[in-house]
This record gives sequence, C-alpha cells and structure tokens, in this order.
Amino acid sequence: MSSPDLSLADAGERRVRLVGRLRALDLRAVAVVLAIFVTTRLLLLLVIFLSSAAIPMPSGSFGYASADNIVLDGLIRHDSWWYVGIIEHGYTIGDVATGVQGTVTFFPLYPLLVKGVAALTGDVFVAGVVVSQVAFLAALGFLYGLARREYDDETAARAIFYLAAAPSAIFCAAMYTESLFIALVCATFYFSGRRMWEWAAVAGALAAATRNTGVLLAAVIALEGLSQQGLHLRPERMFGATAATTARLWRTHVGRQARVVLASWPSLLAACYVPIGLVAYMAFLGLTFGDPLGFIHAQASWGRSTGAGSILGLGSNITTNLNLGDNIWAGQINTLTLLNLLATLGFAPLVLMAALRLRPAYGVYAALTFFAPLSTGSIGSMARYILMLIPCFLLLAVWGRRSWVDRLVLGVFLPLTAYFALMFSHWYFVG
Amino acid sequence: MISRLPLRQIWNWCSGLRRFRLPRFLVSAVLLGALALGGVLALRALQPAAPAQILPGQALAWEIARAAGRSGEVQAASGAYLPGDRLLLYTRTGLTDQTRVRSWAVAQLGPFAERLAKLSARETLTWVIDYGAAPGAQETLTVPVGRAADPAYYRYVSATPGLFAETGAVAAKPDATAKPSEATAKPDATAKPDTTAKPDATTKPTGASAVPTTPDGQALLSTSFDESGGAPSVWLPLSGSWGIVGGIYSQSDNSGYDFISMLNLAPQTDYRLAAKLRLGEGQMGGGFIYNAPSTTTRAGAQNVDFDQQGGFLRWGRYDDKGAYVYQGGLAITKPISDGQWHDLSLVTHGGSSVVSLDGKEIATITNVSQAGHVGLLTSVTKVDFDSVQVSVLSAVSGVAAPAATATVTPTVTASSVITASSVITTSFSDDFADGDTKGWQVLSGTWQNLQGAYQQSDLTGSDMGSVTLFQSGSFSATVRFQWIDGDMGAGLYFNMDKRDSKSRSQMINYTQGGTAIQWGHFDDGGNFTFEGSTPVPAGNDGAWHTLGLSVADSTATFSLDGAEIAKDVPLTYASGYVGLLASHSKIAFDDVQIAAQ
Repeated sequence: MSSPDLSLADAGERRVRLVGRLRALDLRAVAVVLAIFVTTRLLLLLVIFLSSAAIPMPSGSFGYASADNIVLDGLIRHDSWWYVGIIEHGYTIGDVATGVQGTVTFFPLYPLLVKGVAALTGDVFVAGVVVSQVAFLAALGFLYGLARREYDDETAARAIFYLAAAPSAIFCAAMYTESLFIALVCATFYFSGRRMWEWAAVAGALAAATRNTGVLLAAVIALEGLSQQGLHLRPERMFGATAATTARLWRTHVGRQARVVLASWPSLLAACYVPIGLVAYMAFLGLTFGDPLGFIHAQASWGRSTGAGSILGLGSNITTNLNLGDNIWAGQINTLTLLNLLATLGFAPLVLMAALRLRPAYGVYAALTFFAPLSTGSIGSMARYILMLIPCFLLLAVWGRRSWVDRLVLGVFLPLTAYFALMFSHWYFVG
Repeated sequence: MISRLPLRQIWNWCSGLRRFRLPRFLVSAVLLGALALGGVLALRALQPAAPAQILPGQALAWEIARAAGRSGEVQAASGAYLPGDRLLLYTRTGLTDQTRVRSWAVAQLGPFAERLAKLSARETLTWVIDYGAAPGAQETLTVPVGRAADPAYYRYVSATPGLFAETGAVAAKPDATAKPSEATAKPDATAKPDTTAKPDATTKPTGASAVPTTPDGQALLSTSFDESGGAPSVWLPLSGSWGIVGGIYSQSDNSGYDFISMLNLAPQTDYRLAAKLRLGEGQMGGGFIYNAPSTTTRAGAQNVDFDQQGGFLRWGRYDDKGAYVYQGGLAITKPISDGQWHDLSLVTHGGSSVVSLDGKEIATITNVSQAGHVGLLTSVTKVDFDSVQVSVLSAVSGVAAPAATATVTPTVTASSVITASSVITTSFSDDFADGDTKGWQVLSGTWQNLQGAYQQSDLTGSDMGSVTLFQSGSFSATVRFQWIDGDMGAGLYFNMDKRDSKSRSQMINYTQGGTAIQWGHFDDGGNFTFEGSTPVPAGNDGAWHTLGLSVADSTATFSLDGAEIAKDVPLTYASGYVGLLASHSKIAFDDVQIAAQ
C-alpha cells in the first residue's frame, strides 16, 4: 500500500515543479519578443515582395536562388552566395596572385549550421534563411532578458524593437551571419550578467567561431566578472594626509582589488574558454590548408589591410569614396558611402556614451566592435556592422523613454529599413 | 605539529572551493574542449571539395572564354562543354558592328583551332555573342570543332530582340564542307562555268548546287529559293513587286526604275555576289545593287545592271538623294534578253569590282565606296533571280593561286588577281583573244573586250586608263592601237605609284588631234606636268600603230612604229605599274607586251 502513495506524491511534486517553471517562463515577455519579431519580419518581407514584384531587377550576371519565390530570393544576395559556395563546395584559401578570393575569411559556425539544417530541408537557401530567423529570434530573446534585468520591460521592448527595425535589419533576415552573431553576443552578455559563466563561455566560444570579432567577448566576460565583484581601478581616496597614509591607502586598495580579481576567477576562466572557437577554426585551417592564420592572410585577396597606416587614411578614403560631383542635388554622390558615413557618425557618440555610462564590459565591447572595422581604413559596411553594437541599442532604448526620442529613432529607422531592404533585394550593395 | 594545523581554515578553504564550483568549471572545460574538438571534426564538412576531373573540352572552353575575356570590349565571357555534343561559348561584347563581331570571333578561335580539332569530330562549337548597345543583337556562330581553323565552315545565325531571322546558311554543299582542301585545289570550278552557263530555258536552275562555290569564300548566303520559310526573311524589298514563285525570286513590275530588294546581311568589303537572272518583259534589265550604306535606302549605293534589254551593261551609283548617276558601261555583243538564265557575278575588293557574265570577266569597276550592303535590282523589266549567293572573300586572296601570279607567263594573259599585293615583276602580255579582261583594272572610262581587242569607248573624258599588274622600274613595253573615233589620244601610263590612281605616274600619249606625242607626269594631286613632245604622223588614220617604251635608271626611251622618237627622257617617277591610256577618243588596244629588263 505504501508504494502507490509514494508515486502519487512524486507525481504531485513534478506537477508543482512544472507549473513553477511555466510561471517563471513569463509568457508576457515571450509574447512581446514574438510580436516584435513577427511584425518586423513581416515589414521586411512585405517590402521585398512588393518591390521585387513591381521594380525590375537590374540587368547583370547575378545568381538567383528561387525564381518561384521572390521573397526567399530577395534574402539571398551578395555574401549569401559566398556562404552557399562554402556550404556546397567547401572553403577556398584564395590567391592574391590570381585574384581568387579566399572564403576562409568567412567564419565557419554559420555555414556549418546551415549545412546541417540543409541536410534536413534539402534546400540550402531555405536552410540559410531558417537559421537566420531562428538565430535572430534568439537574439531578441536574450536582448530582452538582458535589458529587462538591467532596466525594465518597456526599455527591453524598445531595445529589441530598435534592433529589429534598425536600418540595416535586412541583414538579420537575410542569409548572413549577423543574426547568429548578435544572438551569441546577446547571450554572452545575458549569461555574464547572471553569473552563468559556463554558458557565457560557451556562447562566447561559439561567437568566436562565427565572426572574427567574436573573440572580443572574452573581454566582456572577464570585465563583467570583475565589475560584479566590485573591481575599481582607483581607490575611493587617492591621497592621504601623509605619504605614509597615501601608501597605506593604495596598499589596501591593491590588496582589496587583488582579492576581487581572485574572487573573479570563474569569469576569468570562462573568458579563457572564448578563444576555443577561434582556435578550433585555426586548427581546421592548419590541417586543411597548412595555414592556421589563413583567415587573416586571405584578407589580402579581398583588398583589405589593417594597421595604423590604414586608419590614418580613413579621411581621405571617405572623401574619395564619396565621389562628390559638382551638383550633389543631382545625385552626384556615392550613396553607399554616404549611408555608411551617416551610420558611423550617428553611432560614434552612442559608442562614446556607452563607454562612459554603461558598465566597462559594454563600453569596451562597443568601442572595440566599432573601431575594429575602421582600422581597415574604410567605413565600408559600417551600416551593417552597427547591428552588433548591442550596448548602443540599449542606450537608445533608455533614452527612448522620452517619447520624442522614441519617435525620432523610429522616424529615422523605419524608412531606412525599407530602403535597405529594397536595395538589398534588388542586388544593390548596401553593406 | 599536526594538532596545530589550521584544520578549520583548510576546511573553510575547501568549502570555498565548493562555493566557487571548481568541479563544474572543470567539467565545462572538458565540455568546451570536446566542443572544440567536435567543431574541428564538424568543420571537415566544410573542407574544400576535391576537384573533379576536368575534361579537355571543358578546359578548352574555359581557356577560350578567358582569352576572349581579355579583349577590352568584352564584358562577359563563359564557356561550357557538353561531351559528345558541343562546346558552348557565351560572350557579351561592346562591339557594335556585326562584321567586326564575326571577324573578332574567328580571330579568337584561331589559336585554339589545333586543340579544337583534337576533340571528337562529332562535336560542334557554338558561340553565342551578344553585342551592341542594350538590348543589342545576337550572333550565333557554329562550326564543327575539327574545322575551326577554316572560316569557310563557319555558320552564322543573327538575331535581334523580338526577331530571330536566320540570315546565314552554309553555302558549300555537304560534300564541299567535308572536303575543303579539294574545293580550294580546283579553282577551275570558277573558270569553267559551262555547266551553269547553259541552263535549260524552260526549267529553273537547280539552285545552290549548280552554283560554283568560291573556294576561299566564307558563305554568307546561298539560296535557291527552294527553302521553306527561311529565304524570304533575308530579303528586304524596297520597291517593286518581289515574290518567290516556284522557287524563283521574281520582280514582276516593269513599270518603274530601280526596283530593289536588299539582302539583310552585314555590310561587306571583300565579297562575291552572284546570281542567275532571266530577263522578262521590259525595256532595260536587272542586276545588282552593292556597297549600299544602308539596307533601307539606295542612297549612296552603287549598281551594276543591264540596260537596253540586256544589250548593255552599265554601272553607276546613287547619290545621297538616291538619284542615279551613270558612270560607265559596255555593250553586250549578244543581249541576254533571250529568255535564258545567265550568271552574273560581282567580285568586290574594296575600291574595285570585277563583273563576270556567264563565267567571263567583262568589266572592272572602280568603286566610289569601299563597302556596304548588297541586293538585287531591276529597271522597267520583269526579272527572275535564282541561286543568289554571297560569299565573303579574303582581302588578299583572289580566285587564282598566289603562285600563279608570281610566275605568270606571257600566255597567262588573265592572271585574274586583283589585289594590290599580287604584283607581276617579270613579264606580262595580253592579246585579248580570250575575250575577257582579266588582269586589268579600270582607272576610268569604259573599257571592254570587243572582237579580240581592248576598247575604250568613252569620248568625253581625258586620261582614261586601264592598268596591268606589271610593276617595274626597268622594263620595255609595246602596245598596238587603232584610232576609232574622237581626238586621237592613245597612249600609256607607266611608273604608276598606284593602280587605281593616276597621281604620281608618268604618261605618254597622242595629242593635238593625233599629230604629236607628248609625255609628262601627274603629280601627287593628279595635275599634269608637261615634260616634252614631238610631232608625229597623224595617228587618227584608222591604221594600227605600235607605241614602244623602254624604262631604265629613271629615264625612258619612246618609239612609234619602231622608230625612236625620244631618248633618255628623265623621269619624275622611277618605277611603278604600267597601263593603257586614252583621252577623248575611242581606241582599240591589242597585243600588250611588257617585259622586265
């Protein structure tokens, strides 16, 4: 008789546990994320559908993913075809001498995932779009959770809407790596904020295998751990009444900070795991092509370079690429460069404010992510790269509490979102 | 000592480790390590695919496309290979002229001909070329891979947006296509047109098969109007009533002049236009329009056609307003308005054209334009046409083999070479007994072979000339001549810089009504400079006289009827071509003999 009673008790306990988990799930948050994801995706897809149906594609030697589905086709553009090439034919190392561009510059996690999904769907294009949508939904979820923990529900909703409706948001819907990378960045911040260092390490490592800037997330994890333990670079009082007092103050401070660093060892250890994604890719390159740094060396086959000399030429490059004519109002200007310049100038103060106002991890990540592309001496694709400046979107969401800021942001973002979607789907390079 | 150990502190420290979840991190480190290892293994899925075996044809297609892509005007080029079927090429080029597109394509394939020939003989090469400004036009070239070296086997199909009209077909019959070397080895095929010259009056010619194929010609068109649907698309009637009836292309309106049907082909510079024609009711006849700047108007074109019910061949041009301008002509001893089919052909090389009737060259025309479109022409006559053939000729090739021109003997009176590069430097003679005018290039005037003599019959012009291929600075020449009408103006050109211009040439001829002989030269601008003269017995007595000339060391010695009339006359021009000359007179020339010294 005792056995049945025990099993009933177990079942009841499991039921109670399940209800508790469902309550913890917070259906309202899920609904907000889903609603914003769906509405912004519909907006993008509607723009692609209407424009592709009404405006003829430019003539040229372009590939088309699907003649029967202009929406799907409109999401497979430019770099998408490089990913398709990697998935279908594998990586190429490139050759500067012959002008063959090496695809090893594209990091492997996204094409690997797409290849796996394609094995299920049987269509690499569909798989690519599915991976992008799922990843972006996850990105919005992590960002919402992150922002809600830092601020409140409304700010969190604004943050994910700003990201989902950002001018270059089309890249999060297209067969591009942006959505996956943003998801992993948001996840890293999210887990770091909750001191879930193992998961933060996993997300960071995966991000490091998704984009070359993913390895920067090691700094995010480390700084988050240190700041959570109360790390301060300078003491509350920098000087004492006497030299001996000052020395004692600093000795005490250094000892305290040393203990903080020691206490932060889980995050520091987690940060050390982040490069694993990059190391794995380098191992693959070494085994396959005999060049672990092939992803750097192949940059030359794309005509890119880095270094102080490159960034010093930024101004002249912008001036040259703007290609200003005698009459700008007659359209004598390179609109692509103009948009990239506006994106750079628009987000530069946000990066600065993020560095000043947010926690060190956010500021450092924003600054490094912002300046890494500029180190090539070009603002090319900056309109796309700003999508990864998650701290800036958080900052915008905070400022968006003021209604006029919210309207201004949306008033600027939404028309440009449609513009980018139209141009991108019509094979015009926008980032 | 043991009892003094801070056991409590050690226990606390261990508890602290438990609080730091060290084991969990060790586990996660192992998991991440495994993840990295798994990642490396998973990345094998993205390893570059092993290159598939590249067939020689595929490699060749790529190489040709790559080579084509190096041309500055090419915007896109690609190649593909379908084993056992064909090698496909596609090019998008900025070239706008169809002729240039074709010649460019042929030149591109030249270096690859040997390798193409090594592919399967069953395979063909097809090259689709989009050209011109958007939307542009399209030219599709097809040739058996084994024949890529020979443009005679190239077949072209032209298309423009909204219109896909076959404008080209292989002219050579299948046999000739299979054996080009035999075709080129037998130039007699053009010299002996008997089989085509005597068609049955009641039955139409057998079409293209009866037409001799230009040995080195690249056939642009060959039609006997027996094709179903294909032929009409290439014809663009401008006026008159043109139609295909019973495999014959007829113009059935004899009420007007200059009824024209143009061929929708690219303009050509070196070509042979041939057709069979049969004159019906009417006062004049029919013939060809050629070197037309456009297929939509006759303005600027030249023409050669029959007049006087086939009793006179005339040539002239249409001015920029389309008005006809007569330039020359010759009588046909046996008018062709006999209800029979006759072969008319026109071989044009830029500035000159040779007209042949029933296989005999009867006239050489100096053209006023260098290239253009071609078509058929009738005036006040119903005319039937058949077996129309247009072939592109090499700019440096004629009908005869080059070797024959270099070692021409006195008996080879008609070398038939009409290109400037074919020069005779040993000897030349023509007694005009063969009835043709091969080897002569008319400079001006109306020259024809009549009754075994070469006659210039235009009384209105001065310095009319017809020039041989002989060229030297040290030679002797004699020619017999007979005054027929007008002022006696018979003479010779010599030391001519060019065959088609009197500029920079020496001359000697009768003047003052035939009572004196003068000599001099034409300068760069064609202006005559008198250098000397001598009185002679009147030459307009209707008797045959002989004018002699000996040139050496920039001097000349002249003789008339064997008697020297001037010796060691210094010359302005030291060497050049030799020709006949007639001013304001109708002169018959015969027994031209020139020999280098």
